[in-house]
Amino acid sequence: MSDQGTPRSMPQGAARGVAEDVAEDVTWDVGFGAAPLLQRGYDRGEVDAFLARVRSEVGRLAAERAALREEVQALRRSAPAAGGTATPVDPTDQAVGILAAAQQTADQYVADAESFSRMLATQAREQYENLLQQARDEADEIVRRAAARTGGDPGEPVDPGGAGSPAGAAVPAGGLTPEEVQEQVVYLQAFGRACRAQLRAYLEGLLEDVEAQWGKADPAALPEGARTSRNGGAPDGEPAVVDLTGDGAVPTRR
Amino acid sequence: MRASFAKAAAAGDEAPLYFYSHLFLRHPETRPMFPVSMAHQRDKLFSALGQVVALVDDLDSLVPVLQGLGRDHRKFGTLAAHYPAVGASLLATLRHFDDEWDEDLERDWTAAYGLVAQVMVEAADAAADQPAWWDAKVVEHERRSVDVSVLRVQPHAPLPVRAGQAVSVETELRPRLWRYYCPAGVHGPDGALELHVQAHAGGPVSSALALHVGVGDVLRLGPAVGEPALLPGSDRDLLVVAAGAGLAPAKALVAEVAAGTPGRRVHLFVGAHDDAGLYDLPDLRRLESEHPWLTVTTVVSGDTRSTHLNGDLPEVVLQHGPWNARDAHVAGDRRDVERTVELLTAQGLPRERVRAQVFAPSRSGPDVGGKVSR
Repeated sequence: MSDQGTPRSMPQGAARGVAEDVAEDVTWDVGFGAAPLLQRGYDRGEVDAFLARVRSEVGRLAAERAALREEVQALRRSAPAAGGTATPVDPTDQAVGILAAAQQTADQYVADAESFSRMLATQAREQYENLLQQARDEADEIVRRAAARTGGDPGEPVDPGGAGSPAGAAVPAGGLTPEEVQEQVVYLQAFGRACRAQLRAYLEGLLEDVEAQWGKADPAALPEGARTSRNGGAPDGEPAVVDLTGDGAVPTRR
Repeated sequence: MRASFAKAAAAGDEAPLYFYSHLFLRHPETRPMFPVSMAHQRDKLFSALGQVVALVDDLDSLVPVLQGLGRDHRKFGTLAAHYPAVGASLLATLRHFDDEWDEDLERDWTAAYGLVAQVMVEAADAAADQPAWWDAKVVEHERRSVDVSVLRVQPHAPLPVRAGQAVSVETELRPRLWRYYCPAGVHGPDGALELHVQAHAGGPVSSALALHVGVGDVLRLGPAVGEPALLPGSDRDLLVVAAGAGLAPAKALVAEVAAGTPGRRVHLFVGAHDDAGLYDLPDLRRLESEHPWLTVTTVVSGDTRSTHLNGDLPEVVLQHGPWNARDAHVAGDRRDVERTVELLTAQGLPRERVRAQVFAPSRSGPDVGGKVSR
């Protein structure tokens, strides 16, 4: 890093236009922790040297600002005596009209921008709520099916069975609240579903390869079951889960 | 005088438009004191003037209103020197819109405005021991849901504010736009204020505060306005109903009861549309466990899946009643507040023991009387 560079870790406040004395505070407060052993970082000496420069620069600017403020105040005090802006001039109606029109234009632009942003935000919000609702419904549906499938046989190693009961009535386990258990069940189910889908695609690809090779060599050796299962599977989306767990060929994973 | 004001008022937006254009041309140094868009400002000016003119025969009511205005204008950086400038432009405006303007009217209006300005300036001077505004550094900014953030801001000097009162807030991201917020209480020895901000679609200030402001930024706060919520002298138990944004003043109320005379029970109902709307649940649970006299009931109206109590907030409150022996405080959106007050009073709770506060998006500010809402 060169001496003229801006340190990335400079606190936000200093970069925004906050009062300069705040910026001064912030700069003084800055300290950088040591980088983890195996990570490369800025040269400590360079950073310290830069900070020293910044400190002295901020100090200089603060002093300059104070001096300028003094000067402004002195000038202000002397201005009325010099008769500067003592008597304001009454604007003509024409001037008033021009400024009024300009102001109205500005008002209109601001109002348009605000209503545009309102429209966008409202739409985004609606979409967000719809998606959330959809996801919730889907999760509910998964939980319901899982419960229906495994409810009678808790010994089965399919993990949704861990809840062991229908949706909404999960028993607290290991100090977790029912909501937390519910949340975990939903999460694990979604995770399992994703894994199954991935595995399925991978295995199908593999099968296809194998079949193609075997088919060429020995058509009689084609495994009948695998082919029908593959063709019978739903194209994508939810029903696939049922079909897959139904055929029992796909391992379930935590 | 009323007739000449009526003529200007009849010109609608034209009159304040003329007034501000005149003022800014004659005193360009006043322009930066106002926001870029003046549309709302123009409404405010003439509604304030209208109230003053309406009260002109009732000095007992008018003087406190003017004093409040004078004090409140300090945060805008208004100086005594600005008052004659405004007076001159006001007169020019009235003259411009009145065909029958004459010297008598000019004299009367000049005298009347002089009095108004004098009362306002004196009130502003009397408040000079208090800061005109407080610079408040954001020390915590937590996004609690898709559009609600909870901020903790540290004013540079103590800012006295009681439960139910509001402070106006300005961020440099939206200069000269002030919005009122009821703090959810004062924390710690340094007096940091907790603000709950919901970003309203298209709301320039609320979305900046909720989504863009960060720790270390400095906000500007005005002095507290409005009546404290707690009824003076009452030691009755309390029913507090908070719908949505009404949670902030409700929390402030709980804190005030905790600091006051012991033995008052508080039942706090917090309503939201769905679970995400209950954005302050951990803190509510903490309060409930710290204060044996506090009961918190959370109600969700729009999601039957929720593990919170399901139902319409006003109805749920009523079912937990009767509340006739308590003081009631109801805050939140208009529909829930009005319905709750209606049900409570129908049940026999005297109306004077019910304090209601309606929060609506884009409130431009309290009216000329300093009331934040009804």
